[in-house]
Amino acid sequence: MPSMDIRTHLAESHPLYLDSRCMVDRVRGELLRGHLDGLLLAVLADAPGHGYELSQRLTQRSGGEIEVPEGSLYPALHRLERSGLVASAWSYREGRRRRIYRLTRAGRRAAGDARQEWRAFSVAIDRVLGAAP
Amino acid sequence: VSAVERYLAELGAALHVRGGERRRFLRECGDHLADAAAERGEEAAVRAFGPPPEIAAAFDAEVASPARRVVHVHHRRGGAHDRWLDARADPRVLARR
Repeated sequence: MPSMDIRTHLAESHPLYLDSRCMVDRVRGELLRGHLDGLLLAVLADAPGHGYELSQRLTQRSGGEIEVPEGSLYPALHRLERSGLVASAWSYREGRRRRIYRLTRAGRRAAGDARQEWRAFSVAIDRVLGAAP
Repeated sequence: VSAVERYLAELGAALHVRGGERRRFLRECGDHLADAAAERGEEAAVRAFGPPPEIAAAFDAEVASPARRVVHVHHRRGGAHDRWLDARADPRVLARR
Protein backbone atom coordinates (compact mmCIF):
# COMPACT_ATOMS: atom_id res chain seq x y z
CA MET A 1 0.00 0.00 0.00
CA PRO A 2 1.46 3.43 -0.87
CA SER A 3 2.29 5.87 1.90
CA MET A 4 -1.05 5.47 3.73
CA ASP A 5 -1.00 4.28 7.32
CA ILE A 6 -3.25 1.46 8.39
CA ARG A 7 -5.54 3.70 10.47
CA THR A 8 -6.16 6.03 7.53
CA HIS A 9 -6.80 3.07 5.26
CA LEU A 10 -9.25 1.47 7.70
CA ALA A 11 -11.01 4.79 8.33
CA GLU A 12 -11.53 5.29 4.59
CA SER A 13 -12.61 1.77 3.78
CA HIS A 14 -14.53 0.96 6.97
CA PRO A 15 -16.56 3.89 8.35
CA LEU A 16 -17.38 1.88 11.48
CA TYR A 17 -13.70 1.72 12.29
CA LEU A 18 -13.57 5.52 12.21
CA ASP A 19 -16.59 5.67 14.53
CA SER A 20 -14.94 3.34 17.02
CA ARG A 21 -11.68 5.32 16.92
CA CYS A 22 -13.62 8.55 17.50
CA MET A 23 -15.42 6.92 20.41
CA VAL A 24 -12.17 5.71 21.97
CA ASP A 25 -10.61 9.17 21.57
CA ARG A 26 -13.69 10.81 23.06
CA VAL A 27 -13.80 8.45 26.04
CA ARG A 28 -10.08 8.97 26.57
CA GLY A 29 -10.52 12.75 26.49
CA GLU A 30 -13.44 12.62 28.92
CA LEU A 31 -11.53 10.33 31.28
CA LEU A 32 -8.58 12.70 31.27
CA ARG A 33 -10.77 15.71 31.92
CA GLY A 34 -12.55 13.86 34.71
CA HIS A 35 -9.25 13.01 36.39
CA LEU A 36 -7.38 16.25 35.73
CA ASP A 37 -7.76 17.48 39.32
CA GLY A 38 -6.39 14.21 40.70
CA LEU A 39 -3.53 14.24 38.20
CA LEU A 40 -2.57 17.78 39.16
CA LEU A 41 -2.68 16.92 42.85
CA ALA A 42 -0.43 13.93 42.16
CA VAL A 43 2.23 15.92 40.32
CA LEU A 44 2.07 18.64 42.96
CA ALA A 45 2.66 16.00 45.62
CA ASP A 46 6.17 15.59 44.09
CA ALA A 47 7.08 19.24 44.64
CA PRO A 48 5.63 22.73 44.23
CA GLY A 49 5.82 24.10 40.71
CA HIS A 50 4.50 26.61 38.19
CA GLY A 51 1.99 25.73 35.50
CA TYR A 52 4.48 24.91 32.77
CA GLU A 53 6.46 22.65 35.11
CA LEU A 54 3.28 20.83 36.06
CA SER A 55 2.34 20.23 32.42
CA GLN A 56 5.81 18.81 31.81
CA ARG A 57 5.56 16.52 34.82
CA LEU A 58 2.22 15.23 33.56
CA THR A 59 3.75 14.43 30.19
CA GLN A 60 6.89 12.87 31.62
CA ARG A 61 5.22 10.76 34.29
CA SER A 62 2.68 9.43 31.79
CA GLY A 63 5.37 8.54 29.27
CA GLY A 64 3.83 11.03 26.85
CA GLU A 65 0.41 9.32 26.95
CA ILE A 66 -1.38 12.15 28.72
CA GLU A 67 -1.89 15.15 26.51
CA VAL A 68 -4.38 17.72 27.68
CA PRO A 69 -4.49 21.24 26.26
CA GLU A 70 -1.94 22.97 28.44
CA GLY A 71 -4.21 25.98 28.89
CA SER A 72 -6.80 23.77 30.57
CA LEU A 73 -4.48 23.39 33.56
CA TYR A 74 -5.16 26.97 34.68
CA PRO A 75 -8.93 26.68 35.13
CA ALA A 76 -8.25 23.42 37.02
CA LEU A 77 -5.59 25.05 39.23
CA HIS A 78 -8.00 27.91 39.90
CA ARG A 79 -10.65 25.38 40.94
CA LEU A 80 -8.24 23.52 43.23
CA GLU A 81 -7.11 26.77 44.81
CA ARG A 82 -10.65 27.93 45.49
CA SER A 83 -11.32 24.54 47.08
CA GLY A 84 -8.45 25.01 49.48
CA LEU A 85 -6.46 22.06 48.11
CA VAL A 86 -3.76 24.19 46.49
CA ALA A 87 -2.17 27.51 47.42
CA SER A 88 -0.10 29.75 45.17
CA ALA A 89 2.12 32.79 45.30
CA TRP A 90 4.29 34.78 42.90
CA SER A 91 7.95 33.91 43.10
CA TYR A 92 11.12 34.92 41.26
CA ARG A 93 13.17 32.16 39.66
CA GLU A 94 16.07 32.64 37.32
CA GLY A 95 15.21 36.30 37.01
CA ARG A 96 11.61 35.60 35.99
CA ARG A 97 8.41 35.93 37.94
CA ARG A 98 6.26 32.78 38.18
CA ARG A 99 3.13 31.74 40.00
CA ILE A 100 4.17 28.74 42.11
CA TYR A 101 1.55 26.24 43.25
CA ARG A 102 1.84 23.91 46.22
CA LEU A 103 -0.43 21.46 47.97
CA THR A 104 -2.10 22.43 51.23
CA ARG A 105 -2.61 19.86 53.98
CA ALA A 106 -6.11 19.23 52.67
CA GLY A 107 -4.65 18.90 49.19
CA ARG A 108 -2.19 16.26 50.34
CA ARG A 109 -5.04 14.25 51.85
CA ALA A 110 -7.08 14.71 48.67
CA ALA A 111 -4.14 13.48 46.57
CA GLY A 112 -4.09 10.30 48.67
CA ASP A 113 -7.86 9.91 48.33
CA ALA A 114 -7.66 10.40 44.55
CA ARG A 115 -4.96 7.74 44.33
CA GLN A 116 -7.01 5.24 46.34
CA GLU A 117 -10.17 5.95 44.36
CA TRP A 118 -8.31 5.53 41.08
CA ARG A 119 -6.87 2.18 42.19
CA ALA A 120 -10.31 0.87 43.13
CA PHE A 121 -11.81 2.20 39.88
CA SER A 122 -9.06 0.83 37.65
CA VAL A 123 -9.26 -2.59 39.32
CA ALA A 124 -13.00 -2.66 38.70
CA ILE A 125 -12.60 -1.62 35.05
CA ASP A 126 -9.83 -4.15 34.55
CA ARG A 127 -12.05 -6.92 35.89
CA VAL A 128 -14.45 -6.16 33.04
CA LEU A 129 -12.26 -5.02 30.16
CA GLY A 130 -9.25 -7.15 31.03
CA ALA A 131 -11.17 -10.40 31.40
CA ALA A 132 -10.70 -12.89 28.60
CA PRO A 133 -14.02 -13.90 26.95
CA VAL B 1 3.01 40.51 16.05
CA SER B 2 4.33 37.17 17.28
CA ALA B 3 2.22 34.00 17.44
CA VAL B 4 2.21 34.17 21.24
CA GLU B 5 1.11 37.81 21.26
CA ARG B 6 -1.64 37.01 18.75
CA TYR B 7 -2.75 34.05 20.85
CA LEU B 8 -2.87 36.11 24.05
CA ALA B 9 -4.88 38.81 22.27
CA GLU B 10 -7.41 36.18 21.11
CA LEU B 11 -7.54 34.67 24.59
CA GLY B 12 -8.13 38.09 26.15
CA ALA B 13 -10.84 38.93 23.63
CA ALA B 14 -12.66 35.65 24.36
CA LEU B 15 -12.43 36.03 28.14
CA HIS B 16 -15.39 37.53 29.96
CA VAL B 17 -14.02 37.69 33.49
CA ARG B 18 -12.62 41.07 34.50
CA GLY B 19 -10.38 42.45 37.22
CA GLY B 20 -7.58 40.79 39.12
CA GLU B 21 -8.47 37.22 38.18
CA ARG B 22 -8.36 38.14 34.51
CA ARG B 23 -4.97 39.85 34.85
CA ARG B 24 -3.48 36.97 36.79
CA PHE B 25 -4.81 34.34 34.37
CA LEU B 26 -3.47 36.15 31.30
CA ARG B 27 -0.13 36.76 33.02
CA GLU B 28 0.23 33.08 33.88
CA CYS B 29 -0.75 32.03 30.37
CA GLY B 30 1.83 34.44 28.99
CA ASP B 31 4.53 33.03 31.31
CA HIS B 32 3.61 29.48 30.29
CA LEU B 33 3.67 30.29 26.58
CA ALA B 34 7.03 32.06 26.91
CA ASP B 35 8.53 28.94 28.54
CA ALA B 36 6.96 26.62 26.00
CA ALA B 37 8.01 28.81 23.05
CA ALA B 38 11.61 28.87 24.30
CA GLU B 39 11.64 25.06 24.17
CA ARG B 40 9.47 24.19 21.19
CA GLY B 41 8.92 27.36 19.22
CA GLU B 42 5.93 29.71 19.26
CA GLU B 43 3.68 27.83 16.84
CA ALA B 44 4.01 24.54 18.73
CA ALA B 45 3.52 26.33 22.05
CA VAL B 46 0.23 27.96 21.09
CA ARG B 47 -1.02 24.76 19.44
CA ALA B 48 -0.39 22.76 22.62
CA PHE B 49 -2.10 25.39 24.76
CA GLY B 50 -5.51 24.78 23.19
CA PRO B 51 -8.05 26.87 21.27
CA PRO B 52 -8.42 30.33 22.91
CA PRO B 53 -12.26 30.29 23.00
CA GLU B 54 -12.26 26.91 24.80
CA ILE B 55 -9.61 27.87 27.33
CA ALA B 56 -11.30 31.22 28.00
CA ALA B 57 -14.72 29.56 28.38
CA ALA B 58 -13.31 27.01 30.83
CA PHE B 59 -11.75 29.74 32.96
CA ASP B 60 -14.90 31.92 32.84
CA ALA B 61 -16.95 28.91 33.95
CA GLU B 62 -14.62 28.23 36.88
CA VAL B 63 -14.72 31.82 38.06
CA ALA B 64 -18.51 31.91 37.76
CA SER B 65 -19.12 28.61 39.56
CA PRO B 66 -19.65 28.51 43.33
CA ALA B 67 -16.55 27.50 45.27
CA ARG B 68 -16.38 23.86 46.23
CA ARG B 69 -15.02 23.12 49.62
CA VAL B 70 -13.52 20.05 51.17
CA VAL B 71 -15.62 19.33 54.20
CA HIS B 72 -15.30 16.80 56.95
CA VAL B 73 -18.08 14.23 56.79
CA HIS B 74 -18.67 11.66 59.49
CA HIS B 75 -20.05 8.40 58.21
CA ARG B 76 -21.99 6.04 60.41
CA ARG B 77 -19.37 3.40 59.85
CA GLY B 78 -15.75 3.70 58.84
CA GLY B 79 -14.75 6.90 60.61
CA ALA B 80 -14.25 10.27 59.02
CA HIS B 81 -13.39 11.03 55.43
CA ASP B 82 -12.73 14.21 53.54
CA ARG B 83 -14.88 14.47 50.49
CA TRP B 84 -15.29 16.85 47.63
CA LEU B 85 -18.68 18.33 47.93
CA ASP B 86 -20.58 20.90 46.03
CA ALA B 87 -22.44 22.98 48.55
CA ARG B 88 -25.07 24.00 46.04
CA ALA B 89 -25.60 20.45 44.81
CA ASP B 90 -26.05 18.91 48.23
CA PRO B 91 -26.63 21.42 51.02
CA ARG B 92 -27.78 18.61 53.34
CA VAL B 93 -24.24 17.33 53.56
CA LEU B 94 -22.92 20.70 54.61
CA ALA B 95 -25.64 20.84 57.25
CA ARG B 96 -24.20 17.67 58.81
CA ARG B 97 -20.95 19.42 59.66
